[in-house]
This record gives sequence, C-alpha cells and structure tokens, in this order.
Amino acid sequence: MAAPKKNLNREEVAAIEIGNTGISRLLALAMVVVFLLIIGAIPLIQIVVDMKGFQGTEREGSMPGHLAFFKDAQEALDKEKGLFASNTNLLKCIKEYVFASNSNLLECIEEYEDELEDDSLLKKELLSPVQAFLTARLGVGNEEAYLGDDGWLYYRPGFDHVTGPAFLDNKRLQRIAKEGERQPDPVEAIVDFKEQLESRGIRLLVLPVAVKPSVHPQPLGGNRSDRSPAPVTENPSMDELRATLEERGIQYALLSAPGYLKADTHWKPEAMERGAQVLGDIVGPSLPPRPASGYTRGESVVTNQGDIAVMLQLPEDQELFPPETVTIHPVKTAGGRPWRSREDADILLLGDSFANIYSVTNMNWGGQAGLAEQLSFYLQRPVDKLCINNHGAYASRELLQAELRAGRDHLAGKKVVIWEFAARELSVGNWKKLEKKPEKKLKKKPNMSPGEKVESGEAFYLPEPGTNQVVQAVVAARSLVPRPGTVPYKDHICLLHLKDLKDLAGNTISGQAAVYTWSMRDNSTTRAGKLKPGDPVKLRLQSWEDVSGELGSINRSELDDDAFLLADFCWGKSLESPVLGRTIPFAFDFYMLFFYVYMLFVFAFGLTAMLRARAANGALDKMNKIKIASGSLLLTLLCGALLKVSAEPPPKAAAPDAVGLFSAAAEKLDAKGTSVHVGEDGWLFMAKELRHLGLGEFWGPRAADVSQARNPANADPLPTVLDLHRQLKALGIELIFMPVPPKAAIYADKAVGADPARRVDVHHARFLAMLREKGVNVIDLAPLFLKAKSGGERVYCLQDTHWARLGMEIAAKEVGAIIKDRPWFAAAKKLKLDSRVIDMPLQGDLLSQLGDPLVKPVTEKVQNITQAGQALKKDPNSPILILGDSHALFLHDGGDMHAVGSGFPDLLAFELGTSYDLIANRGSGVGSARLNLARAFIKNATYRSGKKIVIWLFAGRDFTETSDGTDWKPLPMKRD
Amino acid sequence: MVFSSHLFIFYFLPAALILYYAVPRTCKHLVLALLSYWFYGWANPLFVVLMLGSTLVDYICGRVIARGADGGKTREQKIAVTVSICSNLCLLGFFKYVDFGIGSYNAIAGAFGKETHGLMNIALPLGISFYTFQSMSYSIDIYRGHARPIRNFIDFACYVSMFPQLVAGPIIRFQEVADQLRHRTHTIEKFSRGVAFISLGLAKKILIANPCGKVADICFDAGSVHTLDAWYGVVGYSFQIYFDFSAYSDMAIGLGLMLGFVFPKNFDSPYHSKSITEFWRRWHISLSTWLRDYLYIPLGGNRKGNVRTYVNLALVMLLGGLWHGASINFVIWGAIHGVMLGLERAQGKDSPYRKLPAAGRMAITYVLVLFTWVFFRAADLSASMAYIKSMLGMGEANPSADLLGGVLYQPYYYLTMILGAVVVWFGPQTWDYTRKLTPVKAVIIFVLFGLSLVILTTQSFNPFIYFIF
Repeated sequence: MAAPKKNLNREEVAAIEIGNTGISRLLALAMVVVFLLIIGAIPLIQIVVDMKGFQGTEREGSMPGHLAFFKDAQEALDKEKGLFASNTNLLKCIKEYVFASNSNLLECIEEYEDELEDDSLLKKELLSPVQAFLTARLGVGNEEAYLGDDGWLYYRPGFDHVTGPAFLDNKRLQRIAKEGERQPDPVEAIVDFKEQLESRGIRLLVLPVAVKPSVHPQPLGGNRSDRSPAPVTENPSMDELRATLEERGIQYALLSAPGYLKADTHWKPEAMERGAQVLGDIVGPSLPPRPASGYTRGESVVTNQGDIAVMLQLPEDQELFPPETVTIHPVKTAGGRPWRSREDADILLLGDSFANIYSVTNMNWGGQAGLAEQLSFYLQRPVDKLCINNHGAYASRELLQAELRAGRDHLAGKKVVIWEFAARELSVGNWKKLEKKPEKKLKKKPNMSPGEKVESGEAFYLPEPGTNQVVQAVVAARSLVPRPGTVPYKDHICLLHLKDLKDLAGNTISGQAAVYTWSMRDNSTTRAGKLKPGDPVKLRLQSWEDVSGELGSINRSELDDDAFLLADFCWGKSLESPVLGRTIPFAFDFYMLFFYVYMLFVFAFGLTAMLRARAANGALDKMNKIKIASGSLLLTLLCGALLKVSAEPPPKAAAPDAVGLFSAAAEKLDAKGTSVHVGEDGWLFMAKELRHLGLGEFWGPRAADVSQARNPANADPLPTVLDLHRQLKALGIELIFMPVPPKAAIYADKAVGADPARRVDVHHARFLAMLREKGVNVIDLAPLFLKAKSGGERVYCLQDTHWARLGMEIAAKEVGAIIKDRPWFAAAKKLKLDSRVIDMPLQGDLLSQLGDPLVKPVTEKVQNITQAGQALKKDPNSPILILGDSHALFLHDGGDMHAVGSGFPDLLAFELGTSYDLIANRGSGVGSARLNLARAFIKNATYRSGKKIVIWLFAGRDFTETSDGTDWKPLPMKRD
Repeated sequence: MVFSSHLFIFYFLPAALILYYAVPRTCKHLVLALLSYWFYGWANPLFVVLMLGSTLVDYICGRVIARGADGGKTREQKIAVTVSICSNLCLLGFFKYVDFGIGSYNAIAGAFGKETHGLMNIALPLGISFYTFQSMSYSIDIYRGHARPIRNFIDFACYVSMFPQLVAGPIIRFQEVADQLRHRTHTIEKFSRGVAFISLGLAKKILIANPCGKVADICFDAGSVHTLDAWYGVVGYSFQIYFDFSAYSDMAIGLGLMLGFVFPKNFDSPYHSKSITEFWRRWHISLSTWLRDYLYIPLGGNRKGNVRTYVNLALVMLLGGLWHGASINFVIWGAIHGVMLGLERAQGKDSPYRKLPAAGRMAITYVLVLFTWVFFRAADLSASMAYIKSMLGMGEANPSADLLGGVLYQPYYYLTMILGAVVVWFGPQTWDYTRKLTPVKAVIIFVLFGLSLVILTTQSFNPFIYFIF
C-alpha cells in the first residue's frame, strides 16, 4: 500500500486502505458465497425443519414464534386500547397507552428472541457436546454452574453470596434499591414479618441454610496449595444479621451442617436430618406438651442426577457427574400412612427447596423424608408446611398470604413459624414486605357451578374433585415462564387463563378457567409454556386440590390480575393440540419461496461478480460466458433439488394425519368407554394402543403431559433407558432395547384406515434413532413387520393384543443375529432342540374383553419348541436374559398365555441353540419387570455377573400407557 | 439487537443484505434507514421516536444553515447551529445526566441537612451518546463549510441511524461519509473484506472478550480479593474492554463495507502505547478526534497559552469521562487521563519515563491504564479504592476471597488470557491482517467464524460494554 500523504484525513486513509485490499477475485467470491451460505442456510434449514414438524400436529420449534410475532405485536398494541374507554383525559390516555403498549411490545420482543435462541437447531445440536468439551477439557462451567475439584459443582448465586460484598452494606443496599428491581434489605422484611406474627402471638424463627460454597469451600480452593480455606466461610454480613435480629427479639439459627450433594445445590439427607434435630432442639422446649404422635421412619435408597449437573446441559450419557445415591428416611404416621402436613399443628414451616428436597417427589430425590417430616419425627408432633422451591425471600410468605386470602388460615393455632431459606437469598433475594393483612379475607366457594357469577366476572370452571374433564379452549393469558437453564430448578408450573371452553363434543362450557399446567419439565419449556393469547389448547382438567399435595411445592408463576385471587384453580394435563388456526400452508410456501429466492440471490451475486471480474480483465469470451452461466444454472437447480428433497417427507414417513386419526379414534373409544377397538376384516385392537399412537412425541418435556405414569416425574422413558444402558454397560452387560410395535401401528390400515404402506409410528422411529445415536443397541421391529405383513401369515394375532408366531420369529432372528456375533457366544453351552409348527384355535384377550358372542375365535399358527419332547425351561445360569412383559410370556407361560414352549424365549433359544433366562411379568414391562431385574441384580451379585446380554422387550404403547407406580422411574441395578 | 446474537447473525443480517441489494440504487438509503430504525426499535420501540425527532431537528437546522450566504455567517445560520447543538446536548443531558445531577445534589444537600429530591429513574436510550455526537457533527460541519448539506431527509436519516455503527460507534463524523452518501461503490473485494472484519470481530468478542469479562466480573463483583486475583481481574478487564469494543468496531466496519461504506479505523493497538498521549491516539480514535475537533480546538486548543492549554486538556478529558457515563468514577477516570496528558504535554508530549527502553515504556503505560480501568469497571468509588488497595497489597481479604481461585484459575481462562495477551502484543490488527487475503487466511477466518458460532451456543446474552454509554 502506498504511504498515505500527511494531510489525508482518516476517511481518505481508510478508503485508500480498502481500495488496496489484496485478494483474488475468485477468493473474494468464494468468501462471500461461503459466508452468505452460512448465515442464510442455517436459519432457512431451521425454518424448513420447524415448519415440517409444525405441519403435522407438532407445535415445537420457533416457527409459530416467527409467524406469530406480528400478530403478538399487534395484540400487544391492542391490549391497552381499553384505556381510552375508561379515561376522559385524552392526553393522559395517549401517554398511558404509549408507555403501556411499549412495555407490552418489549415483552413480546424479548420473548420472541429467547424463543428463537432456545429453539435454535444449532443450539440444540451443539450446546451439549460443546459444553461437555469445555467442562471436561477446560474446566469451565456455564453462567450458572461453577466447577470445583473432584466432581463438585456450585450454583453461581450461592458462590456470589459467599464471595460477594457484605449484603448489609448501606451503600450497596441503597444502590440496589435505586435500581428498583428488588427490595434488598432482609432485616426490614424479617422484622416486618415478625411484627405481623407477633400481633397474633406467634414466634418467628429465622433459619437461613448455608449455601454449598460456605460449607464445602475446599473443592474451590484446591488449586492453590498455599491457601487453606477455613472450614466454613460466610458472607461478611452474617454476624451483623444475627446480631441485628437478636437485638430485635427474633430467634435466628444458621444451619451449616456439612454434607452436601456433590452435583446438586442441596444438602444430603443426613445433613438435613441433623439440621432437623438442631431445629427441634431450638423450638421443642418452648412448645406446649403434646402426646407423641407415633411417627416412624423407614429407609429407602434414591439415585438421581444433581440439579447443577442438569443445568450444565451436558449430553444425556455424560459420565462427568454421575447420579448420586443417597439413603433417605421417609416418615410414616402411627397408622403406617405417609406423613402429611397438618394445618392443626402448632408449628408452621415456611421454606424453599432445602425443605422440599426428599419431601416432594417431583424433585426426584424421593418423598416424605424432607425437613418438615424429620422435624415432625424428631419432635413427635405434627408440622404444618408451606414450602415452595426458589425465591425463599418471599415465595413462601406469598404462599401463606395467598392461602389466607383463599380462606385457609395456616396461622390459626400456631405457636411458632420457622422461616427457612437458602442463605444466598440474603444477597440476591427480593425482600419485599407483604401487606400486613390481606385486603379482604375471602372465603371461596368450594365448588362453583359453571355459569355462576363472581365479583370478578365470569365464574371459574372447576371439575368435581376426583373427576376430570377434557376441554378445548382458547388461551387468554399465560403467566411468565423462566428460561430453562437460568433457574436452579428444572420444573415449573405456569397459570393459564382459558376462555371459550368447550367439551370434546363441541358443547360450550360456560365460564372461564384458571389452569395450572407444566411450563417447564427437565429444563425444557413445554408446549404450554410457549402458548400465547389466542392459541387453541386441549387439556384434561381436574381440580388443583386433587394434585396440590403433590405439585403445590413446585415453583410456579401467577397472573398479575386480582381476579385470580378468587379463582378456582384447575390442574391441566396437555393433550394433543390441534394445529393453530393460522395460515400455515401459505406461510410454509412463503418460506420455501424465500429460501429459493435467497439461493438465487447468492448465486446471482456470484455470477455478476464473476462476469464483472472477467470483463474487467478482458477475458470474457463466449465460452467463458457459457461456462459461468451453465455453472450457475446448475448450482441453482441443484439447490432447488435439495430444497425439494428436504421439503418432501422422507420415505415411509407417517401420513400427516395419522396421529390425528388415532387421536380421533381413541377419543371415540374414550367417549364410549370401551377398551377394544373393532377394526376392519375382524381385526381387534387395544384402545390404549390407539391412544398412545395419537399422542405423538412422548419423551422430553412432553412426557409428563402425555403419559399415564402415576408420578409425572417418572413419565419420561428417554433418561431411564439411557440410565439402564449406562448402568448395565458399567456392569459389563449389553442391553438390547426392543419395544414391540403396537399392533395398530403395523395394521394401521385395519385400525383407522391409514395408508397401509406407510409407517405411522414415526415417533417411535425418532425415539429409537435418538437412543441409537446415544449408543444404545436398538432393534426397530416396525419396518421388518411392515415388510412381513404383506405375506400370507399374520405378524400379530387377529383377536389378541400380542404378536403372532411370525412376529416373534422375526424378533428372535434379529436378536439371534446380534448374539451370534458376540465373542462369548461361542463358549455358551449348545442345546439340541426340535421345532414344529401347528395351527391352534386361540381365544384372544381382546375377543374376551369384547364379549361379543357373534365374533368367533380364529386359529393362529404356533411354533412349538421342545428339548427331548419337553418344553424348555429358563436357565438362571444363561448369559442371555430376556426382560419383558406379557410379550415375553405369550404362548410360553401357559394358562392365559395359551400355550407353553412356543413364545419368544423358546423361538430365541431355537434360533441360537442355547438356553435363556427370563424375568417377565404380566402388566408393565417397563416398570414392574425392571424392578424385578433390579432386585435380582442387587440381591445376587453372582447372578448379575453371569449375564452378558439383556434383551428388553415390552409393548410399545407402554412408552405412555404404563401406570404401575414404578413406570419410567430410574432404578439402581447395583447398590454401592 | 446485539451483533453477536443468533437473531442478528442468522435473521437480521441476511434479510438486511437481501433487501439492500434487491432494491434499486435510489431506494437503498430508504431501505437502510428503515432497517436501522427496525434495528434500533428492537431495543425499545419508543426510542425510535426520540431518534427520529432528533434527526428531524438537525435536518431542518442543516437546511437553514445551508441557505445562508457564502460569506460571513448570518444570524439565521448562527441560530440554527445553536439550536442543533443545544437540542442534542439537552437530549443527552436529560437522558444521561439528570439523575446524576439530582443524585449529586442530594449528596451535597444531605450533607448540609437540606431537602433532597427523588430521582426521575430515566431510561437511557441506547446509543444516544453516539448518535447525538454524529448529528451535532453534521450541523457543525455544514456551518463551518467542511461539508455540503444533504438535501434529502432520507439520506440524512440514513446517516444518523445507520445500524452498523449506531449503537456503539465508531462515531462517524458527517464530513467523513458525506461523499459516500452521495456515491459509493459496492465491490466484491469490499464485501469479502467486510466478511473478514465481521468474522474476526465476532471471534474477538466470543472467544476472548466474553471469557476475559467473566474473569473480570468474578474479581470485581467479589467483596474482597487477594492481590494476585486483583491483578488477574484487572488484566482480564483490560482485555475484555479492548476486545469487546474493537470487536464491535471491526464488525461495524465490516458491515459498512458490505453496504459499500468505508468507516475509518477506531483502534490502533492501544496497548502498544508508550505514553498516555499515544494511548489516546490509538484508543477509541473516533471519540478522541471528535473531542479534539469539536471541543478542544474550539476551546482554543493550545493556541492560548500554556495555562489555557492545560485547562482545555483537563476539561476535554473530564467531559470525555463524563460522556461515558453519569458517575463520579467516569469523571475520575477522565480526570486521571487529563492530568497524565497535561504532565506529558509539559514534557513535550512524551512520558516522564521516556528514557526507558520501549518495552519498559509500554509496560508502564499499560499498568497506568490498568489503574484507570479500575475506576471504569468498579461499581462505585469506594469499591474502586478497595480494589486498588488490593492491587497494591494493602487490602485485607476476607476468608471467602480464597474461593475465587477455584473458579478463576481454570485452563479455559488461562488459555483465553494468554490468547488475549498474544493478540494484544504480538498479533496483527484486523486492518493489517485483512489487507492481503490469501486462501490460508480465508480458511483461518472461517474457522474462527465457525468456532465463534459454536461457542456462542454456550454463552448467554452478553451485550457489548459500550452499549451502556
């Protein structure tokens, strides 16, 4: 570059500099095209993928956000129009309207941007592996999780509290108060609360629980040998807090017993139990005597992944932070019933997740063994408990206040209120003062009938306790939902305000509804968490009181509207929602067109630039022109072809309406109350199968919404399968995962009139593909069955739920092929077995349930396997273990299973020429059978060590239909 | 909308490029202005009204100034330029300094037992410090006859609101882009160099500035720190602010190039400076030259004797500090730099340690700058003083300060800090690196771009530091 003249200004220097960029035209072109392809193709692929998902009945992905943004923005502006009607001062109205609408728009923008990032394919695909690399190789956590030595993890706000400035420092308090986002002074709030309680003759005990960095500082200070951290470090204001509170006559105790979970924010059961004893020693002596309640304690082992490890969003099969196992002591009443909070107790415990852990089963650390329970056991007296996860500075007090408003006075008869919160709240919490008395003490009507008017307007719909009702409605409002990974809890409940309620038959249900529902599950926003005003929704509603004992402690958000103070709340379980009433096909076409135009733009840009370059060099002859033009045309066509391929459904994909067909058929059966579906040509199907196939995606955040599992925490099959795979692998045992496809999925043409050539259980295929990606050995039987069904022989029994001989044979051959490939198989003892195929009349279970005398039993083919004329028995010493449900017992176990020696285990033994072992039961193959496996493995290590392979087969419908209590709960296969 | 966000990179930028290149030349400024207003309104839709109002006032003033006689300045012209300057300063003053003024008054009044007043809690519009300075430069340049006025309002709105540099600079003076607004070229060489600038800018932000910022946050947010941690934190902050701001400038320049504009350099390896005077020739060049041309020189510069020169220098630096934010810390930061500049001017625009070898001068200048960064970063004056005490080994750390090491001294942060140091002192500047682009460099650029996109997925919202100024 020529040296700039002395008097050149900065712009001229820059212009000369840029004008002298040394780059070949070809390289410049390549750089531009690559850059445009990266920044253009990534969002367009995202849009196409999301739209494809969205065109079915799926509502995941950011597409609705894309489409709905302008609509939402319009609604944000329209929402405040009412201001004009209620105010006569026009200027004031305009001012209020502008600021309120602007605030709504900002919310809308923020939500849209968050949604866009959270749903990004790039993020979904890359976040976990990249974070795993950063954590494992470079020793770094993320915004919320800090790493210590030896697998210890710390939650950032706790760390900030301990290492941060003194929380009672005046300047700091003033600065935060000035920012206006929260009231930072805990003393003010605590003293105010104490005065409120004192006016009712109740004593307050303030109970901060020390955060992990202050109790276990060693793993954080381990990198520098010259420093040895003190055993317990705390924020410099802790002593001042104690002194100030005690001076004001408030009892104070800091619980800082060592023994925290390594990868979780909370304490271990033993630390919590020690804390309960300390607490009991403080409050016990001052309480009036009372006869011992007879509480007893049991023992139970729980294994779970720590919440901080979950916040790191590492891959499912990560081994950096293995699940931890603890022994908890669930408390029972004298009558042997599980411990329950009692309003008539004289102790009230207000608390956060430190009180909820081991108590609330949704936290996945077991139940009935939390702080309140242990305190109850130690004092041998009942305890009333109002605890809600997170925001210990105010959430439990707000809950108490809400209860008072609703007419439930938890302070009546109390002698002492224990207010537990995580000590980090002292630095980061919102210590807002709550009003001294609720404005009105309202007594809610227990069960308002639809149509009845209340002060706030229309009545709130509420099903009778113990019953449920499926409704279709339109969302009027949704409370705030946190962004996954930014909060220390993985589940969250939001409140939906629903209007235009209808039952399934389309009959109008008068009134509105206030519905709590899952908005976040396992750190993923659920479908309900993304609902926007105007969206249609279908939910199974039941009274909130039916589930509040179980779910009331989960962190939840409310709608900021006084009308809801009086509402009757429902709990809503999401059902398959109809596609939004927006013009999706148009939008889809628009985006496809946009994609194509974009590609044309990129290549046209390149072509023009190249032509210019050639022209400038004088090298543009006719041949070059033809080459460039044809090359560009070819690229554009190629792009178009790729687009077409990506837009078309993959071969054998489900017909777009298959899920809807199953869903509709299941609803009809539901309405009729029948458990058997009569298909075409005499085929009978189990109603549960149709329901399952009508649900769509059944893992991840949707699992709890679609599953019949008794405990929503045990609804998701994905982590459990991966967990079992990991555990067995660690024991040197291989898992073969082989769910048996629902009969209605293979004979969908007979069941619901779907296209016979297409695979309808695409969600199974996706699920199995995911497992395969994670290293699980999966056998996907559906394509094999679909191929085989065109032959003369049936793959499933006509009148029975189970598979027929052919289906079992195909499965046995698939499994056999894998086992024969294993080195240990050569050493397995071989057997001489005989086989013969016979026809056998079979009174199928579906036929029995149908109870229609006009339908006659049919004959099925049966392949009988014998050894020296006798049916083969299971061999506990066999390295091959079959784990299953009735599919493993059908034609094998006699009695209601119709025959012996002719089931899957027999066919597998025949295929391999060797013995097998079997753990199977009628009912659920995912819950009960796995529990039996766990017991057998834990009790007998020799038995366990003799196994080389476990073949896990069960009815595919049980991904959602299992309901035996264990369901998809992860179970330990070995006790440490 | 942040340049280093998913929304900008994958949605706004492609859409903006398509729209910009799809429309005929005559509509490009309209499209660019509309895109810029959209970009700006994304942060807060109401701010758009403010910017539009400010633009309109300056446009009208510009038209009035342009109508004046060629010879001496008419009364109308003088009024117009005064209106323009006053309206911009009032805008800046109201949104940025009213609360600071009330707070300062309250502090003094409180000390004397007088009545205090409540704060107005005014939200600071994004980029207001930048676009008011740009708008003012237009009126002043026209008034001085350094540039011809723009006839078309859309062209002017496009200049004021141009999204690549709207929020955090570089401050583009009107005379610098006046000709480009009338005519500019769109070439593939410019575009490709723009790609390189954007990619390297993104890499600076994601791969270096954000992790270094984390180190700084941990140290500065702690209640107390050990000496070693204090130095580690302030060095982290020096890297964060340099890479963050120069990344934004690189991306702004890159985006400008893609749209045919050439913006001048804003950084010139500032940590290579051997004196504070030199530092200000290399750091945030667009601000220092703006202050020089529109404040220091009109105040008399160095033409009115030594005392006046020092006063002018101190005043410019104080105001420069205050421009960054309404806080006593920024005033002190500006004052220290003003004093240093005055000292150096007294020694012939060179440092008191000018006799040391180059490396020593560079090191001393860097350390001086580090001390001033403490005021820039710390929450308030007392926190700044406590931090400096810790740096000097005079503070007593709480036991909890021991825990910081467990988080700070991890391979990821070591790696990032070392990378930052290597780039600062041994690496080429973006301008130099992209002067000659070879296939190998192109591969490196795209690898860095890809890596940045990958790491971006693990980082949460992390706006540029200068967004708040």
